[in-house]
Amino acid sequence: MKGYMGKILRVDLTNKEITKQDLSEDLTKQYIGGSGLGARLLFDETDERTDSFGEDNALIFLTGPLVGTSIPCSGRHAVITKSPLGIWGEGDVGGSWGVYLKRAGYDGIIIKGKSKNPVYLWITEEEVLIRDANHLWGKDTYELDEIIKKETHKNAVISSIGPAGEKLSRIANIFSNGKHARAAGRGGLGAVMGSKNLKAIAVYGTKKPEIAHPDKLKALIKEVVKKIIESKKGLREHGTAGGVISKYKVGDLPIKNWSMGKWDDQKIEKISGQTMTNTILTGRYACSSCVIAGGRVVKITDGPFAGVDGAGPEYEACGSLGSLCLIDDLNAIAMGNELCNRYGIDCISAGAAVAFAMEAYEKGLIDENNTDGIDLQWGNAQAMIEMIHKIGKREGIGKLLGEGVKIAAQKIGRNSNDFAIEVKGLEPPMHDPRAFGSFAVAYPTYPRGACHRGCNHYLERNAFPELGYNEALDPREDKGKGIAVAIMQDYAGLFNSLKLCQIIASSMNPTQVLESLNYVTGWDLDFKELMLIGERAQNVKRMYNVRLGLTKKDDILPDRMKEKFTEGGAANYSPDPDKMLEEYYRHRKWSKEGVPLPLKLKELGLDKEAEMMEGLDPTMLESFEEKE
Amino acid sequence: MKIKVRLFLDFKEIIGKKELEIEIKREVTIQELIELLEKSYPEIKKVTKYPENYSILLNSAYSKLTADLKDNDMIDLFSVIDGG
Repeated sequence: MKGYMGKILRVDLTNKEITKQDLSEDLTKQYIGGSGLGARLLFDETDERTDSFGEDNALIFLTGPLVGTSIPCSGRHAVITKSPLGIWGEGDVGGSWGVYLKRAGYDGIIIKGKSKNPVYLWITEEEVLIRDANHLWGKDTYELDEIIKKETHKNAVISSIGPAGEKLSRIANIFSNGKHARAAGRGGLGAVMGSKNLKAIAVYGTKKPEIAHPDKLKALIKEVVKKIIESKKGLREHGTAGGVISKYKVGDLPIKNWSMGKWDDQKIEKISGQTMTNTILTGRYACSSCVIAGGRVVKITDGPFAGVDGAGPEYEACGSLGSLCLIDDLNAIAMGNELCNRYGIDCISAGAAVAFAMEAYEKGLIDENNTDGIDLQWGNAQAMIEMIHKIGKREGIGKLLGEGVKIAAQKIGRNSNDFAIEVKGLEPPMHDPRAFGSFAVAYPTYPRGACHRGCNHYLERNAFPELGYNEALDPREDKGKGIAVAIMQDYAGLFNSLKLCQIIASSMNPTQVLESLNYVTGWDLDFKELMLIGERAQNVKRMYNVRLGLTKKDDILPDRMKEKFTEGGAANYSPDPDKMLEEYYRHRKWSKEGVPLPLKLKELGLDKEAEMMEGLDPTMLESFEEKE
Repeated sequence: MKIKVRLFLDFKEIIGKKELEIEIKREVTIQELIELLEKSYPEIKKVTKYPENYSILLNSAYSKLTADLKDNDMIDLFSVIDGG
């Protein structure tokens, strides 16, 4: 198979057994790779009884056919498992780990069971070893990287969990590339790894995938690289954090736990990527095959936050640890971000948890007795740092906040769920549906919870003629958003399957994406067939959740995100998620309850999932057409 | 009519000013105003070549680019970095 290495590694940590199985070409043609293929595998490897922290849960790492080629921004990998939120779980991450897994000879790894003691995997072309990791348990992700490299190979790439994942925090991620901290696994996937006593996976190799049409691919790459470099200059210069000022101006950046439409222009500038460039930036990081280098490297040598040395904050961290908490100190944000990386916590969820706690403190639902004396006033940067320590170590109130805002609110009670902003247990990224209306249906419907990785808002900023959009959609109109989100989830989902970086979704057009796949694999897909693959994956992910009992009742946008602002860039617009949701379900040919209908599933070749429908309550399958 | 254009980020850097006072004798949309600016300051086409790389506010609020401008309107013109 061109593009693929043709092998999946299977690891049973309970019995310490390792097997290598062939990757089915038929499966790759239906799902490609990454989270699309992961959907098929997870659906088949687990069922509704699977415990996220149980031996029967499968933790799956997958690359795609473009990984390890020279296609720009293609060196990514996916992580798929049943999330500790009790739902579909997926992560997508850059760095270079995916490339080196393929260089070791594997397209992916399926890990089941649970080791009796902490272990790490060491995977090379020659052998796959399960090594003792007792001496590594408790180490943070930066120091761990250095230690494992000394024990394996100086150029090994390591994917690991920090103390938060070891302690099963539901906001623990999986990190790779050491202090460059490439993060995967919103929704607590790091905790799944911790539940298996698996501390890290180190990979190294020199193999390369075969390319079907290397000359055609070379010409395509030349064409694509030119546009990416030209159109992404700002991203290279200032990172995604360079978007803080502009996103604030249009009302996309949330302020004070999503409750304010306007803050202070000068404070916003202080926490921007532009300020980072002029102060603490020491370098730019590029993932494997990336031609942009949007990653930040920062260092702080003096002041209260001295010691920061590594990955700098992205847009999300500047929001979640900054504006969401009314913190205007970039150095504090950089420190908070590094602590999240080291402890192995998702910075979006960590910031959301701190903001939630600040609001609970303001409202008198918690006090200094609960916070061990920390004064959780809005804007208190030092308090944010101390809370992240507590969350990372799972101490005091940090233990509760480390479960995510949904569970924290359930425990605190007294209507605190009103300001626990989450969908299906996942805290939203720093994009407000009152600025880009498509998020009002994207957040409720993305299978892993509130997630922007369906790239829906790209359609509200760009034309995509191949997808049927000759001009960008108006961000403040409801009509058409349900359909747009469904189409974009399928299309952006293909990036997650191919393992292409979504940053280039506006620079590499759909025809070029299709050509890259065909030139690498030698397939002869047309665009309709490619989109069908994307649609199939989204439906399997949905069915994964339906099998767990999730339906329309779980596709809920938090009320606070519908409250109209009177000032700021997002003023005077309140999206209507109900209207958008109906449009979304209709377009997808799902029922009124958000369940994929048997006809749609059969159309996608999902016969097993279609059979499941026979066991469902018929009211779950009432279609909009029947009603009419 | 007189239009104030406040410049931010890349536009401020390229043009070298924080704001412009534009006098226009005919009715224009915001998009047409941007095209006029491109003629006066061709360097800004580096940004405006890619529509996703810039955005505007009209009188500090959201507006479509096709909106008609009126006397004493204020446009905020700023570059955008997507991602995150």
